[in-house]
Amino acid sequence: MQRVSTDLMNDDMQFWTRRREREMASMETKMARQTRLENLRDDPLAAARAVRYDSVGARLQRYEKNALSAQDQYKVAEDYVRQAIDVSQRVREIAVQGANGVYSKEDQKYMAQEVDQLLGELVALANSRAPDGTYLFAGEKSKTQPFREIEGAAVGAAGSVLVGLQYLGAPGGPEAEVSEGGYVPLALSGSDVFWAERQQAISTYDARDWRAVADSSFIVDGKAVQVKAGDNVYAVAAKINDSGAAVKATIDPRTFSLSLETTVPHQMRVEDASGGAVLKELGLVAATGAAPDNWAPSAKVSGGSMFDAVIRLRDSLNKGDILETGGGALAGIDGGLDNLQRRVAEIGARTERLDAVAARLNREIPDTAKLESEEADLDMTSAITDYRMLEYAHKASLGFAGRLFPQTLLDFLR
Amino acid sequence: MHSTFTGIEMGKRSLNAHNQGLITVGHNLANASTEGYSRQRVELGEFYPIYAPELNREETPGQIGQGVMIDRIERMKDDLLEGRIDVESGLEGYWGARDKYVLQLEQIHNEPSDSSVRTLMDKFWDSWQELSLRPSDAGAREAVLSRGDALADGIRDQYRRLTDFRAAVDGDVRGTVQQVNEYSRQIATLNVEIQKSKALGDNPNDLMDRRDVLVEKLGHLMPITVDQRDSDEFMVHTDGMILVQGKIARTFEMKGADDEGFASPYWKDTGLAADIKGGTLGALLELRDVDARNEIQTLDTMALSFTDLVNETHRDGYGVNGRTGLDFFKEWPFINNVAGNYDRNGDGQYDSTYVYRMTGKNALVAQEQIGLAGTIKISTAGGVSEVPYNPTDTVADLVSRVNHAGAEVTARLTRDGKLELRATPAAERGEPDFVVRHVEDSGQFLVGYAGLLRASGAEGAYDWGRADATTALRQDGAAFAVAPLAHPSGWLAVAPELRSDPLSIAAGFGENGRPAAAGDGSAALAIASLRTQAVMVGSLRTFDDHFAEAVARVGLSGERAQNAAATHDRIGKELRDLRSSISGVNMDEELANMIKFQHGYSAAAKFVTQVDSMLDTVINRMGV
Repeated sequence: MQRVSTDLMNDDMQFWTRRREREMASMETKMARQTRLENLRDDPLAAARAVRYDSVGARLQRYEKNALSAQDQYKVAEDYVRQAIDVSQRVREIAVQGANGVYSKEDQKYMAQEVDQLLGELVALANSRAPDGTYLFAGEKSKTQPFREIEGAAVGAAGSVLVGLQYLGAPGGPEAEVSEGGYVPLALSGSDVFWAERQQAISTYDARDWRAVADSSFIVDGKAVQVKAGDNVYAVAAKINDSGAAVKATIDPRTFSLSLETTVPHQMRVEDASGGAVLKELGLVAATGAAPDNWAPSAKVSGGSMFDAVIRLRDSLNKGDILETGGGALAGIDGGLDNLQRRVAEIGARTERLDAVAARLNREIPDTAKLESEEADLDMTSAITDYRMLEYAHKASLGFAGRLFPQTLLDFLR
Repeated sequence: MHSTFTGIEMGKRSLNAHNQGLITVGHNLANASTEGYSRQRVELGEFYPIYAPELNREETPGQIGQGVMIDRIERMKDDLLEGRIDVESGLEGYWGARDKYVLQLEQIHNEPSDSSVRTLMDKFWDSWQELSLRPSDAGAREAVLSRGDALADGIRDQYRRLTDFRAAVDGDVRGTVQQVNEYSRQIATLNVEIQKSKALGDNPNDLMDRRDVLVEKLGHLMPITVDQRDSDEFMVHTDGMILVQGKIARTFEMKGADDEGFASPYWKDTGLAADIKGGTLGALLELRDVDARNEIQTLDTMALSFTDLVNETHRDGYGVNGRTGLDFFKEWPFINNVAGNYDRNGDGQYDSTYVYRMTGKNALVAQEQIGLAGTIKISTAGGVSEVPYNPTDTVADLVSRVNHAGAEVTARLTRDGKLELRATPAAERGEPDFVVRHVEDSGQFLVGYAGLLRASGAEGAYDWGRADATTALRQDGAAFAVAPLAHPSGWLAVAPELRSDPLSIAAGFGENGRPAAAGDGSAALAIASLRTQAVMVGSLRTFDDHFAEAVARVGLSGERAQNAAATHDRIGKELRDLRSSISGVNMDEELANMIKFQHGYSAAAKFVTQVDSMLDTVINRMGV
């Protein structure tokens, strides 16, 4: 520039001082708020990432809460199942003893009395509640007592005794999300835990000529099975086997009737979806009633719960039927024990999974927090040194301006 | 031969000239800090010498100098530089305004913080997770309710802040248009005075300085160029149109309010729309009509997708009291007609169909191959987009292709696998937001496969431009939802029936048409999982994407404005420095000039005294 006007220096000083002051103010705010993003414009992409990490962090913390909550539930449930195993083992000992044949009828009656007491204990365990008042083994019907006791007269027993139990709970438990799209069941269903035998349902309907007349669906253990118009009974059986439910469908080669059998001991629930009638037509379910109490009167249903097996033992002891005691009753109790042990193992496996989930979250949560912090938080060291540099430059330029401006020709004119 | 008093006359002229020089120095010094002042300089010239070449001239050697005279008083100004400054002012005004206002938009997002809409939504999802753990719990329901309230409040508050912002910008637009009109008038008035002054042969320096200041201020408000080719007619152009021509100033008026009450500037004399793209006014118009509008539309999209998805899932679930079919969020001003019929031109006849969402009848599997070929036509800004499909495409391929077609319709598969088409906000200002305007399929995908349309081809197309257009949809299972009339984010609230009985909040889906059991948390889980699923929030996949994108978009726009404003600030400063170097007053220079003129004046006075004493010799001492 050839010429320098007197105003220029002033303007220049103001311009740069203003700019520096703005920077200093912004840095002060950042230090006060402990963030490097005073406004989104300071680093929009980092802000976008920080926002994501923040949401992910909140979500992970929720997963951790869910996992811990599920673990707690399992711990309580596992204790009760283990107690049920202890009780059942004692029942089994009595069964083995009672089948020995050296005991008199009287002795066997005493054994029956003990079995009856142990049965009461088993039922109490199955109907136990979690600390928050919900039933542990009622599945989703957490407010309903899962096993209803049916009392009546039994051969050889004095007065009214427990002759049966009806499961009123739900088949499956509620679930908790412990990772994105990953769910674990929260509660156990009594119809799974306390079941002794594989349940069988055999229709007596000859389905050789049966054809589905319209598209419809039915539900097997909570899994929907779609039936297309024109499907025959073999197609229906194949669809049930492919549905993922723990139920195997077969067609009797002689009577051409549909029969279902569970692959692991549990109570089977089948019903037609609203508007459908396939299972009704195939003679499995009755026209009215909801699962599991909707079996058609003509269908043969077998396979009972742990309690059924214990009741059977008690009755056989009462009757002094050694063959039954050592045969069917003992087998039923063995099945029930097996199942209980399987469920404990299952709970163990789930707990292990949750441990792994918790361990992963324990690492992932601080990692996410660190990522977020790297994007959004201020590096105090560099902020302070940067600020000191600005301050230094500011001081210098102000000092310089103060010294420079007063000097004009006026100072030298007389 | 010259006269006796020539010396005195010459001395007087010299005294006058130097006096004038001193006065001008004084004028410069006095105006050293005046805005827009250009330093002035007295240009001295020799007075007409004698003799002129005439017959009656005296026979002496010539010419004989006659002293000094003032040629003119000139201001030091570079008009070319002034033109560049005017242009640069427009850019400075534009980016300066954007810088300032976009910052406000950034602050409305309130990110990253613990009180943003995103955090409120995170807390809302979290409360559903909690409910899924304790589905029979009244406390967990209260938490869902209060967090739903907090979120609705948050969204409404953000909407209100955005509309306030937009209204404030609109106020600024009106104010700025008035300012532009005022400046134009003042420039025209000055033009008249300057012209008169020039006609008398004067240099109206101070008036021209004032005009330059006004032109620069006007240039800050809108993009202008100055034309001085005709020295009698100073012209200001904007966008190829004349704004000021000599004494004529053209003005703007605000009219033609759109459906939201925002008017645009029109030329008052011709009534044509003014297209102002730069300067503060251009920035304000863009902020009002593009940025703020987009922000509101984005928020609307999020709010509408969010409420629709939550409601859709919630309706299927059962409360602990057995109630079902309830919406979780209530949106008030929706089209009040079950078929979505709407009277757009207000003539009393239904003429269009406003449908926001349509769902097919059949459950599809994302990985399945379609096995059909055809072309889907869906509405896009001002027309239709074509999306072809082939037998080897999977359903997921086609869904993502629809979403990437740049159309104003998005597709997704619902929880139970049905194809769902949803409308996004409209880019064209004449088209309504959140209305599916056209759906057509030349093949069978939308027709038989997804079960949405009744027939393929143009005759089976769904088109919004007629009443009862929903008859084009399958009547035996295809569903649709009517569009909102007002901004969805402005009216969002938790449904009052849930507030009065929180036990109606659904937690479970139940089984086979039976109400959910007390411990069934499946619906709560399904709602909580909306957060991470690809649910299509506008053209974005998930809510996380939406929030991250919103932050990045407004942040980047702010960053750009800030950088550009800083750049143009610097360029403007350089140009002004250059101008200051040419036109600015330098004290030292002026003082030096002052000394020069002072000495000149002294010398002239001395000369007059000398001539006086010479005359004294002749008149008084010759002893005649």
